[in-house]
Amino acid sequence: MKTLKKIILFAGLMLLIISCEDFIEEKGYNSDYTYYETAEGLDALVASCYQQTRWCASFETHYALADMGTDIFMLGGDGSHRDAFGQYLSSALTPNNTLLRDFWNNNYKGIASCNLALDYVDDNTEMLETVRPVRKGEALFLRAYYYYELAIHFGDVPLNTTPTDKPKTDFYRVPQKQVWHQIISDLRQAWELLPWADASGLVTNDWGRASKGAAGHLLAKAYMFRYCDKYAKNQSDVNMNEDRGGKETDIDSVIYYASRICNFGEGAGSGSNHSLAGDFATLWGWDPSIGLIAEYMGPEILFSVNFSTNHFYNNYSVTDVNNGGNWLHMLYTAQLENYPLSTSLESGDNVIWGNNVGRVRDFLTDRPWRRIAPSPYYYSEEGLYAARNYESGKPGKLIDSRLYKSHVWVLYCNDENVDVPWSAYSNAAGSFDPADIGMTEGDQRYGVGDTAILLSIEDVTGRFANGSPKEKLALARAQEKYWYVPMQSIQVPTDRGNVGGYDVITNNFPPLIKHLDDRRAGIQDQAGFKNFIRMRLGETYILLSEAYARKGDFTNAAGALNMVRMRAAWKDGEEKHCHYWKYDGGTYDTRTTSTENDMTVSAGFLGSYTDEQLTDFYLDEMGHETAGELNRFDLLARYGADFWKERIEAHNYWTVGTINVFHRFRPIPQYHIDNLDPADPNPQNYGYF
Amino acid sequence: MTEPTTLEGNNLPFEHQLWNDLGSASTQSITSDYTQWTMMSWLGRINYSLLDRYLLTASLRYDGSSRLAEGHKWVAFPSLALGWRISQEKFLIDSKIVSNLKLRLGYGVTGNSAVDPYSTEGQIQASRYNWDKTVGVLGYEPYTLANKSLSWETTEQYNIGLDFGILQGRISGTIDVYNQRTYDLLMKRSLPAVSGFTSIMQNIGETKNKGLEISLNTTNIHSGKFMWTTDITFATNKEEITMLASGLTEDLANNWFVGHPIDTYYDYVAAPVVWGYSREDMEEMEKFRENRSIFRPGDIRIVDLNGDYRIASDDREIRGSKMPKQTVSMANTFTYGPFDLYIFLYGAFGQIVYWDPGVGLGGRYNTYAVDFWTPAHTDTKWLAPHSDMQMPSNITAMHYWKGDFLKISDITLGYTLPGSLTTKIRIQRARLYAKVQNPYMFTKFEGNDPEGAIAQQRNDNGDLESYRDAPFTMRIFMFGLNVSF
Repeated sequence: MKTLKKIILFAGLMLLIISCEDFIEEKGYNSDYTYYETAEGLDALVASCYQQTRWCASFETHYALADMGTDIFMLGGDGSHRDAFGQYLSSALTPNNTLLRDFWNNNYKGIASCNLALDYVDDNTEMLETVRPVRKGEALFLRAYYYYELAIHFGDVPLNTTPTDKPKTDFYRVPQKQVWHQIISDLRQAWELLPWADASGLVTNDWGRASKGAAGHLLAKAYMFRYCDKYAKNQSDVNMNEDRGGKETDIDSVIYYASRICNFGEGAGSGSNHSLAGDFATLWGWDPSIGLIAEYMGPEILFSVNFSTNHFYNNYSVTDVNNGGNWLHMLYTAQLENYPLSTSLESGDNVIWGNNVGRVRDFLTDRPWRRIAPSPYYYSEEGLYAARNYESGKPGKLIDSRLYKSHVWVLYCNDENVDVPWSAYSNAAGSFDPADIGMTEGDQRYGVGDTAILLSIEDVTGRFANGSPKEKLALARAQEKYWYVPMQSIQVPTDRGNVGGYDVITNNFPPLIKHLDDRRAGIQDQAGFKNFIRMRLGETYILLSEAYARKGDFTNAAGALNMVRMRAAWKDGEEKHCHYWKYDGGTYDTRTTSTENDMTVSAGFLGSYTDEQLTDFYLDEMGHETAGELNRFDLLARYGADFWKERIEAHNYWTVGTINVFHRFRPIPQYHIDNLDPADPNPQNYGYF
Repeated sequence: MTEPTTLEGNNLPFEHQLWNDLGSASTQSITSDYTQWTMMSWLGRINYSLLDRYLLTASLRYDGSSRLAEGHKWVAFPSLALGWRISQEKFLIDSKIVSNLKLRLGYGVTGNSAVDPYSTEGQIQASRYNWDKTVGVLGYEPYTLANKSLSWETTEQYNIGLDFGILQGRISGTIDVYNQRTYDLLMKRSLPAVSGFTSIMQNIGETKNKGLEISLNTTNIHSGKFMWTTDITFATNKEEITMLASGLTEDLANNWFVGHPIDTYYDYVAAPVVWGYSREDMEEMEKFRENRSIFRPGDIRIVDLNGDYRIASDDREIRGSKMPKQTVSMANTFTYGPFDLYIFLYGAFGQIVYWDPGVGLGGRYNTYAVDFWTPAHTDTKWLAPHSDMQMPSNITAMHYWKGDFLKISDITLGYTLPGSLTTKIRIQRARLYAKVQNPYMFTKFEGNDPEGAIAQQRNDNGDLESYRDAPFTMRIFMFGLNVSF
């Protein structure tokens, strides 16, 4: 009887369960995918698709992939990516490299958000019909943007264009031509859907959204990359032969899109609001004595990776100030504080002029992380700014303002403890007495606010007939009223143990001006607020010019190039840096004379080049215009592995003997390969294991 | 349900205003959160005892958890326990030797639903961006991959146990043998990032655990004022994955291998001595160089397991598990009149510890003083120092250590004051004692303490995160007085 009662009771309880079923329903206010069915939710999803564009400027990341270990940049005095990407050491550039894994994951994360947005956008009826196509265009542009990064660095990669709603482990690599096909098709669609940014740079009233200009620029670059597979098809190592699916007509497509963005030639009247900034220096807005004057947000910008002056909107973490923001400002800088004011001679002796160079760290000096330094090619006589690149036959240092406007050449004294007295000096190279130039021995050479350090590209060995190079450097320094750093006369370190310290080109060099930002909350903060200009019209013009030249239309090629060259020239009445008359061979009288005529090229000049010479010419020109803008690897990779390796090895001595043709592609992250099930039959790029 | 809210303000104009005017802080932040989860359980139990000798307990739980997927929320967990008090049987009840003997048989199913709430839905999370320079925009990006089939992890266990007491309890103890099978194991599984998701909470497979646990309590000597008792425990367990839901026998990304424990290490193997200048080494290195595995004298010598003269991902192997194979403990108590002495030892054996001693020899950070390589001092375990270089690749191969240890963790000597003395001052009992904790550890582990170093795990990127320095185990000397009134 008792047992029976128990059974009845138990059965009764079981019935209760059914009525309590909703007790164990999940209740939450946060949000699942149904949010994306609303207009606001879809807007938020598309905004999140931009998030991964920031990776390249946040933390120590893309500079190592895009600029370090190329022809114009080499490893710097500090940092952890130098073995893998500065020297291509096989012990570090492996499938286990964590930077490549993060790069891979970041791009695919962005792609996944875009895939989801593209899945929701067509069915979203709540969003205004005027806005919805724009959002779709943005998602298409961004998907292509992320695939572009992957295809450039890895070649064959998995192509995933649909959202994933359950665990999937069979992402196999497809040939890169399929990836390029996808990139181009997405961008062409984006080009149709996206409007031009208006005169204030706005798209749907927001600054920094993708526009027709952004899509067209990336499309022109993608077409150019694909077109150039004719240079990459037959390599010395057949494993490095590339098939990007290029067609002869790709070059016409470059012209079609680039000319419309530039409003140039056949593209005139396109409706594009883009135009070049009047002065190259305006783009960077930096005065070494003041700091950031104004951040450029004008019509030259085609696509910008935005950062806010409010930490909250920059960061991955709400609480950690430096977990995000733009870090590029520290990476291309040099260590130009606390310079020891000594020159070490061949004999091992040190010549010492003072006790304190008068430079302490502040917002202007920035954090000298010196992750990456210009290679010797950047400033040698036959290098980037060599006379051969100018029809006038004059070297760039005399006529091309971009050399000076891309870097900080003068650093000012900011420490009252400065102690650099004038003193007489003589050695085998000659002798110097301060009285010769009206100075008194023992007086300070400079004080707070005056020039403390001045860098130049001079080779001082030409100044004096006698003496050793170090003695010449010592004598040259004795004569200057600031601490003088002539790049071609200081030490070129060849041993990784010796890249730091002073008077070495890996550690002390003219800092790149382009990313500098003094708006950080604290001097030691990493997180900067400056937008990173990812794509701009200056690059489009050069791309357009090269496309015309490849087609044999040298008139338009010269016309497009001269737009950039005229802007880069010193203008009439504009005073050049003192380097012009002091170190570079110009005269004081011509310091304000226009160099516009010296800078322009004629159709005949470009027409005289062979195909190979054009490649070198345009690579140099891109270097003048866009050095340090995270695009060098793309440009070099265009022309195939053999060219890529030869050019880098010829100009970046750190890579000699270690760089190999297969390094033109990066190793596929092992973490990806290990996660595949079943395994990819072709998981890894040639040369890596 | 949790609903935390935090309000934070930095740089308040006056400190004494406390939290009463956070709006005046120059930087402010507010966060709040909401999480709700519920569980519902029904439990029925029947206890039945026959003749005080045969015992039966049967129970049935019916549990529902909000965290799991629709259709998988409710599971029934039966259990059955049978007991036989053999010592109550006629043939033993009068025994002088056996005072207690009980045989237990058990079967039970238990469940685990410890996944984060909302794991069954595809969640989204805020990401921050900006159009305007000062005013930002909140995006919402996909955050987790929905798992619509997330269900209970269930463990089925059989065990046989014996409780015994001999010689009026001078020797007593228990012996348990168990066999567990866990299926629908709930684990975070890593995924190829191509989908945008690097992991998912999933029912990933089945494991088997077999084990033996023994505890023995003895009174070794009890004569007059002297007594010596010993408590010993011993446990051994063997865990292995028997099946993976993915069908794989080796899941390299998650380090799951059928036939091995869940926490298994898989990595390259470092030879005991780094590369040197010997003719033999130079010739070997040349063979590697031809395959672009480039080493120099003083570099870590990774073992080329498959002998193809290149170090590649197929040269990794299972390096062990952090789970100990055996654990033991022993407590000895001696009393002689007012004096008492207590000694406690415990140990664990057979586990591998992943411990990064921080020895990159990059010359930039302080590291342990180790025997490192120089051209004049070869045949060392540790590599040559590199000026200003990042962590050498594959250095993790040197981070697996045998973690066996036996610790004397407690020695206490006490003296109880004579009652005749203490009652005068109305104190029932007063005891003086001296105690030393962790006086000694027997181990070959080179770090501070193999126990602390075990506490590491894999982060979202699949990297092992370990204590660079395991927390120090402190040796504590204590002198004390216990008083009861």
